[in-house]
Amino acid sequence: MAEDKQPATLENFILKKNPWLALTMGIIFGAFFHYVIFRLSLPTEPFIYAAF
Amino acid sequence: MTEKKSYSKYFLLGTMLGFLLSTAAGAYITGKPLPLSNFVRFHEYINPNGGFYLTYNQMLAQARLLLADKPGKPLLIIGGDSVFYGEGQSSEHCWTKYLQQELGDDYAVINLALPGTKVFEAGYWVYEKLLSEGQNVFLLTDAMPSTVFEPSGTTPLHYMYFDARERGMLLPYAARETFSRQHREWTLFKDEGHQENLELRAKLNHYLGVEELWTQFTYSVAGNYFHRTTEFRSLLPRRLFQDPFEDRPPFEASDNEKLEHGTNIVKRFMAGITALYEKGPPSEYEQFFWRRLSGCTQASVPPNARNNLIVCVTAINPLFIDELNEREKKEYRHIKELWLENFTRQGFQTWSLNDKLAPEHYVDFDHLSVEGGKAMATELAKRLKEFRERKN
Repeated sequence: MAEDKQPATLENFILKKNPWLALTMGIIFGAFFHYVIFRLSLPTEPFIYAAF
Repeated sequence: MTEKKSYSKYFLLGTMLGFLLSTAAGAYITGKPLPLSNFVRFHEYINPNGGFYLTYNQMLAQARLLLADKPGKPLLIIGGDSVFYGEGQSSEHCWTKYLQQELGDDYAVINLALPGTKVFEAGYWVYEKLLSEGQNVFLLTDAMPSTVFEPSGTTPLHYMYFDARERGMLLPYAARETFSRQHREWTLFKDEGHQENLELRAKLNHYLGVEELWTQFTYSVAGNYFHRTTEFRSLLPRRLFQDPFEDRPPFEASDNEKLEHGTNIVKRFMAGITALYEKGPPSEYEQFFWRRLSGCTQASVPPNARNNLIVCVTAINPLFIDELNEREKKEYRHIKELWLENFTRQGFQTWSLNDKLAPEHYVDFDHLSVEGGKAMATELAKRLKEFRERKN
């Protein structure tokens, strides 16, 4: 049937068609989340040491 | 119709796995030094001034590395600000190298001073931990008579105090713990949210290892955020950046613009103290500035950590003092004397360096040239040898 032919979207490819890719993407996302915590903990205003 | 198969659960599992792996990597890296070759100091690109917030553990690990490298030798940690850091001198001619040469086998010297760091910060917290372990360690730190410090540290190293405290690296000392709450009139951080944020940051680093992992990553693998010092090279790992400081020439006495600017700094500094003087207190020590200084000094260092600690009071370039009128010169000398006495009265070994440094030893208002660094190293080595003989 025509409605069964889904277009090969990125979502389908990553999340619904390939378990290993989904797992790998998840690991990368988890590591990125860890990195985001690091970035959020850094000061928003840089320290500027003004030597005379 | 075919059934749609979802692998979202694999993605979720991967996310948890990725986070846990990163946390495990952070825990594994904790306590390991940055892979620096020929360490001289934490230069511009690996200190907070360059947007690189090195952790307490990385600084401590660097000191441990030297202890392991030179077993049996007393470790002399250089703490303090940009004067002791060696601003004005290249890495090759940093004054601490000359100090090591002068001291020979008497001490193993490590420079943990950083620009903008105050008298009892960073290197001091490393000293406190090693001392509490019974290591043979000494701290030589400097206090310019204009720096306003606080027991829990100040910007840019404030985070490091909480990092060290969170991990139980510091000696228990109630006066330091309660300082900002008990002395609201003295603390620089009246906003309680500021301290809470730093405490949370320290916890995240302690339990998730976020700063331990990603600072190592930034150093070894790739830069991952823009900073004004690295600019378009911000994506390069910091290991590719060398200490950018060069040997600077002595200060030009004819540079009237800088002379005037510097002299105004001295005047503002003195006015900032005396303008707060109130009528009434019988002793000058009772005035706000000196009471605060005394309270901060008292609460910064536990009494049992003071024996191996030397505070050097460095000096402003005499050329700038010459620009003051007689009354101002007298006032400056008086304030400096009170500053020195503050540390002496609280049991610190306190050394003044002003009569050993001449105008040609300076590159600017307060930083030293290579020759100035050598003169300071020679003088301090002599005093350190005497100090050690007295202790023995």
